[in-house]
Amino acid sequence: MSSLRKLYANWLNARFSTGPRTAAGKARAAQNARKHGLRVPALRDPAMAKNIGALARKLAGPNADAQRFAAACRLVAAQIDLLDIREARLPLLSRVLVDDTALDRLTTLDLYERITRSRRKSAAREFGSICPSVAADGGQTVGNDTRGNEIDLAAVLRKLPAEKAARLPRERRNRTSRGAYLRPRRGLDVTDFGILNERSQRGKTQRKQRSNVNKARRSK
Amino acid sequence: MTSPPVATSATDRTEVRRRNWAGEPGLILGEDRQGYDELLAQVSRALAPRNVMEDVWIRDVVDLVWDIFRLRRIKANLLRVRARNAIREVISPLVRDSWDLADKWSARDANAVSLVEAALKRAGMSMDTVMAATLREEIDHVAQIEAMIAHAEVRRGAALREIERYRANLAENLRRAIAHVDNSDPHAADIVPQSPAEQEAV
Repeated sequence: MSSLRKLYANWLNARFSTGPRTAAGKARAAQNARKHGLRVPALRDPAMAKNIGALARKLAGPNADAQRFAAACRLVAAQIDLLDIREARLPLLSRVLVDDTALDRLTTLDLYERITRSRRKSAAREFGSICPSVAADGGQTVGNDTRGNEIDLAAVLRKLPAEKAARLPRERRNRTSRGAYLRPRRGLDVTDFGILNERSQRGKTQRKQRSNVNKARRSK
Repeated sequence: MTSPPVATSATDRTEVRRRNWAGEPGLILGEDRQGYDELLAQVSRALAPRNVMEDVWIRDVVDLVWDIFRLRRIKANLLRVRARNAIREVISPLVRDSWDLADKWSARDANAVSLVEAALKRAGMSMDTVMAATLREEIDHVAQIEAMIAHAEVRRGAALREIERYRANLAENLRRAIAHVDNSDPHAADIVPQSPAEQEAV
């Protein structure tokens, strides 16, 4: 058993080992578990939101309505994710003959690619099915949300799930089933992205179905 | 231990993408840019892209075709490179100093190649035996590569289907847009259908 003096010394030492304290240190430590960042969709990266918006604007056209613009955003984000994955494959492909782990990692990237392609396919179909506006009353324009050439993606997307959010109970309007991961951040409210709400709802339904199946199995 | 691929900053990545929607051609060391461009030109001629979306799908098809070729090449090279171990294993009961001979054989030393072939012939074997032994050793890796080739082939087919679907959607949207314009024409009410008698008079 440790003496009181030793316990006190441990306690004193522990006070100096409580992790990073500055904002920069915390930001750095937050990236400790990051391997390649390819699993995080570009749409969830606030730093990329404006650029995605600009690309989506080019794709959808200057007078596109909000729905078409949102579909274009999802499409652009998925395309960027896909290009990142394909770029990450190249150094691994060069090393396959000399590095046995490269093939395993390529297999993992292949899985990521499959997921991203699926996401892009859905986005492209949605984008293709939305008719571009042909009249002034064809849809909600987003021209007022632009600041110069920069497009405030958050402001545009915030308008989208408004109807959907109105149908939800009050306590669920500002959170999703993913909890802290999608917690609203200062400056860019990611929970307002239509795609995230849709996705979280879909995931919740799937989880509920799975748990019901499991319960039924257990009861048998 | 290999280091993970270094990701550039988010803004840089988007800036790169801004220049080219479908990205730069993904080529590795030793691959021919000209060959890639020719393949892209051929596929583009065949499918005739009409807008940026179709460009993206076509680049996808070309990338996937290129990927399939590349993976097949990698599989063949993997078996060739790893054949040295199989040679060692196969000829060890047949010759002395099989390790040294296998090393020289893999360096394509003419004397070593003829010695190995002679030893295999004496034992009633051939290079097929060596390749079978190599495949047995590398079956897991070969299966992984085969799976990736199969996935790429499926994706190539899916990309072609997407072009088809996109074009069908585009046509449908255009049809609807034209109908919308027709319906909202303010002068449409002024046009009175002519009676058969009036038509005859005209």
